[in-house]
Amino acid sequence: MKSGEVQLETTIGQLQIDLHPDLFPNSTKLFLQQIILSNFTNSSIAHLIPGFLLKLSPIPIQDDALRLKILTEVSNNESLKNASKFYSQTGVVGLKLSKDEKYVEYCITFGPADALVSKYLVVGVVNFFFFSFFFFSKMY
Amino acid sequence: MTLFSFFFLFEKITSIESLNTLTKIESIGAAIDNCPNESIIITSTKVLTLPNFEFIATNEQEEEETKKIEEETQPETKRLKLQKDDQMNFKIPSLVSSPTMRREEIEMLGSSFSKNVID
Repeated sequence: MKSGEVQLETTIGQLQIDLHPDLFPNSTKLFLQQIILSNFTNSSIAHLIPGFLLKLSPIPIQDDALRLKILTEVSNNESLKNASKFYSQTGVVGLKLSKDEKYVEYCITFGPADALVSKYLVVGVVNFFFFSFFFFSKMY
Repeated sequence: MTLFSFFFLFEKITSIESLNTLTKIESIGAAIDNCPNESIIITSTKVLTLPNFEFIATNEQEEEETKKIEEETQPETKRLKLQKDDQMNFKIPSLVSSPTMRREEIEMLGSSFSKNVID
């Protein structure tokens, strides 16, 4: 069940993200913090695999307590089971920790997300209704 | 028959909806394929509706959880801290009890010394 909505405005169009704090409270909390602090604004996309996923710029986790919570969330089997509900869906916002476990990478999937099992935790689901505007405007 | 027709219609509608979403997603993928990495920039972010964190956990519960996690993750530092505290606690009573002990010791020593001297 979604209980929060976030909007990202890009040069291509708008993305609306439904958050799922009931399943992954700490990772969504961090995502919300970054959006409220506007750390994503004026940042280019870090990595792009066409037709599969789009990575946002990595962000350092400064709060140690939150970092520990996210680590436990990632290592927890139940949270991965919950995440697996979303893997078959497209347009999922996922979270991945770096090897140092000090940075977080957020990604948006555009293809089937089955390959993200045991690597990414799901934060939200993306609505594409606004994002497709640019493509259609370019065509006609 | 009516039930069957209803189900048939329902399936048709859902299939059309799913097709629409699929085409939209494919179009987005194509749009992204055409754009290089640097051209896509996030201009602004907004929180439309804040999620309810009330049903998840209160602040007290969160604090308890963090304490538990810290205990699990950092047992060595906790042990060292405890050892230090024990040492401090051990020193304080020894200092307090030292005057009485000294008196007794002095008395004992004095008696033994006097005995030795007499012998």
